[in-house]
Amino acid sequence: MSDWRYGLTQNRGTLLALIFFLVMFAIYSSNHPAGFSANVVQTAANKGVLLALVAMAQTFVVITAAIDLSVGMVLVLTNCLASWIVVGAGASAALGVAGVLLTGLACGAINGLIVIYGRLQPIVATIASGSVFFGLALLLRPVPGGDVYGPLADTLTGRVFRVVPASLVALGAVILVIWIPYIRSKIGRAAYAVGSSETAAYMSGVPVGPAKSWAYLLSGLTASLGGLFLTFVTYSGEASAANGNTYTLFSIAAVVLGGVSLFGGSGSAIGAIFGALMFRTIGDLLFVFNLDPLWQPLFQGLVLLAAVCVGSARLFQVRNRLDLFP
Amino acid sequence: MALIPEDRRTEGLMLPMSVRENLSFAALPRVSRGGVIDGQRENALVAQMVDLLEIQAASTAAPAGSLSGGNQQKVVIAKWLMAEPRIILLNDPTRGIDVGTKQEIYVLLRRLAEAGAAIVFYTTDYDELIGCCDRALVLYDGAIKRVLSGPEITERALISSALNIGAEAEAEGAGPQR
Repeated sequence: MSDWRYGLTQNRGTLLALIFFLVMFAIYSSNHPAGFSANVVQTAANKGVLLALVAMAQTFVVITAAIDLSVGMVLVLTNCLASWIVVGAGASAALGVAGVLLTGLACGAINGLIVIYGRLQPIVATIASGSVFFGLALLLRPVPGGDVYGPLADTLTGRVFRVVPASLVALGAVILVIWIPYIRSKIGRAAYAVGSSETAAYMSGVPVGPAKSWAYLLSGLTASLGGLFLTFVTYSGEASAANGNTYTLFSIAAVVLGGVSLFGGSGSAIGAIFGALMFRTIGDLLFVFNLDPLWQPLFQGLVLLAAVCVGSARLFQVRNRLDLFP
Repeated sequence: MALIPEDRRTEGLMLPMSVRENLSFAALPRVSRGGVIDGQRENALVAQMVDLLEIQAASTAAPAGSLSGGNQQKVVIAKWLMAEPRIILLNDPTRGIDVGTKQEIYVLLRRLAEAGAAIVFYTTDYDELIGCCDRALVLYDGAIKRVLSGPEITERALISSALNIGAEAEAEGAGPQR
């Protein structure tokens, strides 16, 4: 009958995040001294895509009703690694990129092994593994530095056809290559089932273990794409604990803003991406309205709180409070 | 092999997910090709199941939690039928659903059994045992105490063997055993 209406209800979070982001970005760019120009969009996109990739990484795990507190550290580790190996030209840089992505996958595999086969709580396990990843990053880059293959970095942080930020095109490609096949696959469907109700998923013959493993693997991979992109933006590697922790916490904020339920089983990486872009725009808004940057965490916190409230609005629709905990 | 669990709300269904998604879980290998879900094939099989069990849902895109208890139970059963099982285990499948749906489920089980499926039906309802089963095994103290088949399955025989009271004496009176 009205299939699209159910689709709309299911994707409400994603749509809300998109609308809020567009409104905020419109306010931002119309108040920007340089106006709505390709340059402004490009800078905003480069900053936003970084967080968007990490938020996407977080989404994979959050859908299975777990949480990955190591995404920021995977970003830092792969950033440091990329500043060593994505150098030289042509084949050498390509090998470097492959090495960075493999490292991301390996980080995800380690998390998956600990959580699924070691049966530890994801929060604790990923804090621990995140620390290990950061330790490795420090070994690689005790002091900030390094280099990256310039032409590749410039292409990906530049513009396509003079107006479209290349980073957004790259993000689109990541969605097309990773997210879309994922939600259409058996394993993606299984991940939602596991997040929705692990017992029911198990009882229905859903491959629970593989679904979780893939979630961590893809999380590691996407986070390493973020690390790679950070290297392209900064032209260097830096093992900064503050950076890693900020990205981890912001990724959770972005996921919530993007309508992905922390209880698992619902939401989409596309929502999380808009959540990330929105979160970034909050900071920029303060900048164009000449507010003290010190206000930024306060405002980001308030917006996050508001988002959680909107997300919980369904409580008002529930007739029987027991329905909340099936 | 299929297991239809006792508590559909926590063990049988992903309540917030759509009816279609819930139906495909057990048969994911059947609806997908090379790990990717084939939308057309999935829709076709789901439609077939919805027709077969007469599942009353506003749409197959509606969340499973929005269905009535009886229809939720039908979704759980349909989910497993989609996987074409040869052995079906049912754990109190008619608990908490309306009489009409119960009847439909009995008829369906009978049809499946005639089509060659082995059905293991666990229930706490004597009438169901008497009405549905070809053979009834009564367990007591961790062992099968009595095997009743066909017309032997009566309320009297069931209760006496379930309570293990004078099972032997009852057996004498009720006629040949086994």
